[in-house]
Amino acid sequence: MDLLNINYQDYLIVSACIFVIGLVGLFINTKSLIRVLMCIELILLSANINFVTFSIKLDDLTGQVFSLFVLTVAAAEAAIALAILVVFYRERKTIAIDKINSLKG
Amino acid sequence: MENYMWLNALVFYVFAFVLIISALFVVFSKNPVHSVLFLILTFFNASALFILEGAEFIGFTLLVVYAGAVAIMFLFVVMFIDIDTHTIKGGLIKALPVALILGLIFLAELIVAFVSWKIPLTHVNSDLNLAFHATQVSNITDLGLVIYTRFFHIFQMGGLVLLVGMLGAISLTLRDKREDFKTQDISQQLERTYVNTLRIVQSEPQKNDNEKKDSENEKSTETDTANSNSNSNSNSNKDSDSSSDIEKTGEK
Amino acid sequence: MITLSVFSPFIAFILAGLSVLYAPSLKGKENNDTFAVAITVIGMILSLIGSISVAYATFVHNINATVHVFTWISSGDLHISWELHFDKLTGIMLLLVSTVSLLVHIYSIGYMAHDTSRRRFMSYLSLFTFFMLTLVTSANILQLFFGWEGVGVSSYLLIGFWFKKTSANNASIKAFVVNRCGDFFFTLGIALIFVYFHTLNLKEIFTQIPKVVDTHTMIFGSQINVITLICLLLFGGAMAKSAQLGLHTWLADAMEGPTPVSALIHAATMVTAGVFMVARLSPLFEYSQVVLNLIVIIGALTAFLAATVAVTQYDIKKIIAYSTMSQLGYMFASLGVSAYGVGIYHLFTHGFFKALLFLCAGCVIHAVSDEQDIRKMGGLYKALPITYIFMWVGNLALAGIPPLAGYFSKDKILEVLWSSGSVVGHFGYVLGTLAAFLTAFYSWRLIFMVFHGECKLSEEEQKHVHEASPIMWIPLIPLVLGAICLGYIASSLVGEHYSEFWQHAIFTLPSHKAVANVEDIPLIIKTLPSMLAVLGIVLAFLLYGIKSNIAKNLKKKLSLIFALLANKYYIDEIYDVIFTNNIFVLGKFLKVTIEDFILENILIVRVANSISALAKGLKTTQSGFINHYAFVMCLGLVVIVSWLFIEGGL
Repeated sequence: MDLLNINYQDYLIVSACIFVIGLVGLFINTKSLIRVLMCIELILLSANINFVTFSIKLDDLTGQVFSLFVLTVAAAEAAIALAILVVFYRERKTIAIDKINSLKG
Repeated sequence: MENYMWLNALVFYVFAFVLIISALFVVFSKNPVHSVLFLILTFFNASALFILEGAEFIGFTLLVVYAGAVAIMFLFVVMFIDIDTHTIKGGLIKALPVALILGLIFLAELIVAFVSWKIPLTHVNSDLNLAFHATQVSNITDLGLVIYTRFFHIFQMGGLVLLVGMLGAISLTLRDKREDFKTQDISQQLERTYVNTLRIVQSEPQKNDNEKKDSENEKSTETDTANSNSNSNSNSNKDSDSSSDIEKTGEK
Repeated sequence: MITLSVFSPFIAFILAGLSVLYAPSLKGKENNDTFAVAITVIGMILSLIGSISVAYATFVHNINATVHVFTWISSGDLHISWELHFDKLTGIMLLLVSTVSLLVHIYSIGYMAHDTSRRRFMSYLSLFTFFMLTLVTSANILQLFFGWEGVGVSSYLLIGFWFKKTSANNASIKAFVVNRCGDFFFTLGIALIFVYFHTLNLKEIFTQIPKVVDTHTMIFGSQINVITLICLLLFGGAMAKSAQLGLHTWLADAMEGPTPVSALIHAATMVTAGVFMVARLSPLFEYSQVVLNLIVIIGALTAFLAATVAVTQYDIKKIIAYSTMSQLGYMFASLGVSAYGVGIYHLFTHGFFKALLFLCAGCVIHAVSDEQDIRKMGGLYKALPITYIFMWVGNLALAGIPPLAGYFSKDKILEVLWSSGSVVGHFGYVLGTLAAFLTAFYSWRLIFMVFHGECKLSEEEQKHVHEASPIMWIPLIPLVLGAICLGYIASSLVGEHYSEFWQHAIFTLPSHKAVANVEDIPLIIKTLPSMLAVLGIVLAFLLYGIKSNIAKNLKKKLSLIFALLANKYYIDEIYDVIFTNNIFVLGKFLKVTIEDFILENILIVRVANSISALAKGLKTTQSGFINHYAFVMCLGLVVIVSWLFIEGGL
């Protein structure tokens, strides 16, 4: 009965799973910068799920409006990040993370 | 309502399961193209969950914006960039178990937090309530009514963010100036005076062909005074040269 | 007017110092320091005009006033204004300081003519004068201390004026350090005054004295009266500044400075600051009989012992320096018997004739190619007639031969010492009279050795001997006149109307009757010092004036005493053993152990090394791979969240 009764906590758990997958994905892959960007998208998605879930739960539209803006920002971010990626690839002929260590002190 | 509950639960479980699995594949699949495709699948499932929750507009926007635009853009880039598939394989860090354990601990903490967290119901009656507009039932109408009134400025700023994103992406990827571009250099244009562009040369009447050839270099009277675009100065010089050539041939 | 008097030397100093920017000296060319010289002299003339008007206002119109210039410090209970106070004491000091200073300025034009840094010299002199004038015009004790320290600094600068000479540097450091010992006491005294009086304004302090007079405090386990303690500490400061026995060692060494400096600072003005300070704070000192007695004893001892040392010295400037010390001893002795006016009177006359003597000595040194040893001089009276006459006048005044200035003031001191009626006073009288004899003796010893007898200079130097230029001896004329007549003119300072005259400036308890009883002393006591002085002259003539071997024989017979005196009672050596050497040892210890080993080796080198080692270790974490950074970030996040969980008990 409890399993059948889907409430907001279940959505939050799903969002948490997505978040952790995105987070772990951020640093466990060593080969592709694109995958890093995808992981960021996953994290943003989990944030969106949270916003919408709380919006429904609290009976307040602000959460959904905010979620829209998160979408906006995510889209802009993806566009610029991919542009940077393309420029970077043009310069270095690689996007493998383990080849990029010019931050090294 | 009681009868649909199991259906509701079923739909939730299916979509949530597929969502998590495809998210895992986004991270762990070896080929980045597959990753992107799984990302699209993730977005589909997420949008289904949104719709299930009752936020139809967000769900569909997610589909349109993410699955339709962003993910496809990812796909484009992945295809564009010539990735050596050999180097891509096995692209996981050595401390993978540690990372996974860390992630699991964090996940457990988050779940415990969410489950044990009792949200205090401080319900405030306002125009932001979902059921405030009793006559309208559509989620889109509700959102539209607040976005264009109450959150108008923020909405405009969202538009600005997109504009800046677009300009940034274009200016980043635009290659260096190509030489055949015709651009306008305003300062150079303003600097031009007739003193340093117009040159009057004494030309003698032509006597014969040999002499004419000798004096031809001097003879090239500047003709491009009317030409305001200085960048094309050299071009126009060439033009005048060629035109004098034409004259010469014509006289012959 | 008083503001003009005090600040015009300061402005002159700044302008003269800045003039270096506008008229830089060119290599190989004559120094273009006319501006600096002119501006400092003009500043001094303005100052003198101001001083004369102030003196006139205070003497004739009997004005006492305080001019508020600006608020200096305002912090909590401490409110200190920059105020110029003037009364008769200030008037006298202003007159003395600005007159002597002006004359020394003019004299220096000639004396330093060949020095490349005359500009610096003149501006230092002006700076010194400013500080001295600040000192004498201050209306609160902190401003007085400001002037006090300021004259110390300018003294340091001027003693070490020829900074290329090691001995000059050492002397300036010694003067500064010894003065610092005194300043330490002085600062403590000021702090104690603030603790008990809650103010540093002199007027307010004086009105509060009756409240504090019976307060006692515990120090080193014994009860001591607060006023006594304060006076003791302040007198400690005065001892250093005025070169009294114990803290006098710097004065003779200070003669390393140019002679005009010796005349201005180490004879006429700065060294009298201690005397002035005690007189200024007379209401405070009056309530401490212990300290007054101590002052008499120290003063009298200084007067006598310095005179004995002066007898054996051969350096012309050191003789006069010890003579100065001796005269300062007289002044203190008179202060100790509450005859403040008499002390100031002697200070005033002494300023003139001692400046005269020093400047004459400067002329002599100038004439004999910077030789200072009187054994190498002799027979100079033909070559230097003007200096010779001036020297005579100065010495007659110093020895107290009537009717010159010294006669009036010095004998007055001895008289009040006797008339005070106390044992201490009589002790002072005896020593003072003996010192008067010695004063006359060493003064004429100096004259005979320098101006008479055979000349022992080399031929070349003899050719070079010449009278100083007019710019050097003309300024001496006012001093000569002062040395001759000032004693008589200024005798109203200590005459019948003594208590009326000093009414507002100096406070004397009615029970201290030294001045009041001065007319009732036996004639023999009055005339004894002058007679002894004449005797001293005669003795000097016998020993040095006519050719004889008496002096040499005497020296051989009394070789032990002579050595004792010639080495200034070995006080410098004793100090070396007790303080200086130990301080050097301590300094070496601190350098080797603390500085080199602990600070340098352990704290700096090792710490630096370990930091760089740590940094090398940390550098490896700086892999440059972005996912490492992300991992660490997430690790931090997880740790923080876990911490919150544990703390929240979830």
